[in-house]
Amino acid sequence: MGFFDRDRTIAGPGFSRWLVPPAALAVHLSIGQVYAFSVFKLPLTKLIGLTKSAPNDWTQPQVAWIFSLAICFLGLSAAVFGRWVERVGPRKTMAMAAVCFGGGFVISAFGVWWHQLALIYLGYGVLGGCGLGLGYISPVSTLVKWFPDRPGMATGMAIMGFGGGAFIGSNLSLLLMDNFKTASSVGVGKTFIALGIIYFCYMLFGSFIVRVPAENWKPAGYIPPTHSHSLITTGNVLVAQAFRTPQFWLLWIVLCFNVTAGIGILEQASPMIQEMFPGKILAPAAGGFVALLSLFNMAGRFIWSSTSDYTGRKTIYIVYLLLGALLYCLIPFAGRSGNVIFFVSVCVVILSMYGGGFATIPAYLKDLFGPMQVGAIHGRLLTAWSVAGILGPVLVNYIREYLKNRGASGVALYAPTMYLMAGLLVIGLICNLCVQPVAERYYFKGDSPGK
Amino acid sequence: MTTETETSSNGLMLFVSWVVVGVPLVWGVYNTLLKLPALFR
Repeated sequence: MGFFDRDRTIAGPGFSRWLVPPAALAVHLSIGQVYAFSVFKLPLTKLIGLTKSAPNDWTQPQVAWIFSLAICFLGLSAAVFGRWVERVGPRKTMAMAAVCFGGGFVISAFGVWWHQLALIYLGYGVLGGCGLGLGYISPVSTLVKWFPDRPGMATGMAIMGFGGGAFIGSNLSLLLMDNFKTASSVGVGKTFIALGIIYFCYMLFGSFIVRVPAENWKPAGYIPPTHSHSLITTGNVLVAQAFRTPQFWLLWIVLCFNVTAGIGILEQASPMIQEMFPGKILAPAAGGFVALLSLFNMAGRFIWSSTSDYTGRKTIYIVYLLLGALLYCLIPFAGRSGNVIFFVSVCVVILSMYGGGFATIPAYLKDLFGPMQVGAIHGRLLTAWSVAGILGPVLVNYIREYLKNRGASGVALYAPTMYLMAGLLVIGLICNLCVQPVAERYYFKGDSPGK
Repeated sequence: MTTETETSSNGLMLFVSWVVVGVPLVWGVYNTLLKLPALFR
């Protein structure tokens, strides 16, 4: 029996379940680096020219594909490997995620040194993307089993790490690039190697300390519900069956539209605030605005998701979607009013609920489908993120371009998109209201789902 | 291993684990907070 086998990770008596969130955080804080990949955008376009792009240097759109590929493979690998993750357990999955994510950086470093963009697509995009997907879903199932009394708080804490990883990733990358920069190099290659090694070790630390609870373990004083009530089931639904339920697809739409709306703002935040408040907000202030949005995105993941343990998952999504729709309608009004504080306040609440939507979904899935294969079901649901990752920025950017070509400026460039986002959230709200308990015919009847 | 030493090693492990994840997170957030004054200036 190897060290990475699931059976070797079963916790003994006296093990504190509070050791599991740091394990999950170690992985999520690492893979959250993907949100900070933009810090490499400019340096990667100056590998030959150094101070400015040379004719043979890569262009920004070519470089932008690295991030898109990584996010695409995050969703795909989470969907494809979800059942494997459930079978082999969190330790092997986290270790595999560490190998993929760290290895992706190392391969990309060679891509930089040999100036082969395809190697970076393959390294950070494909291999690193698989590391992202495996790492993202690896602790979910384990956390909901350790915290049956507070699943929202537990998964919220881990997924908050994904938001927080961007802060570490961006500052660490800038620090390393500055350190490795020489007269003949921008320092990206060595930075990739250093990041690969650091993240590999950090994720492996999570893999070493993670444990799964023993069969039938429950927290002291916790009495599991004996009857299904409201939306919390006592049964378990396998991933293959969950895929066939209307509840899965309703939540898929809810997540997709909630993410579409939030990512549209996040991606366009800096130019948006500068164009809405011309002359009043310049680039450094816009940078502060983006930082503030990221902080609320991170904090919202923990705060909203923890709150859902008390309000129930359906109720909290009603808040995200209804309040979100109202706030999106307020953005053009806030822009026209010229009040920056009002505008910023509206945006930070929206971004906190964007993060909250991500973090609450594993607990919602656990309520509806039971804990047995919640990680794999979550993995399949993350395909909604892949779709939203394209839909949100495309809607904001293309509508803005269309309006600009017709002579619009300032708030008018964004107002129709904000109303459209509000409309998407209303569709999400209707889908959320349609969510009912899963029919018993989908429940798994055996003892073990099989290997 | 006695229950007492088991509990204390568990406590130490718990402390170290939270420090290992907490310190980088606080460092990242602190560096990001430094960018905020530009927005409200």
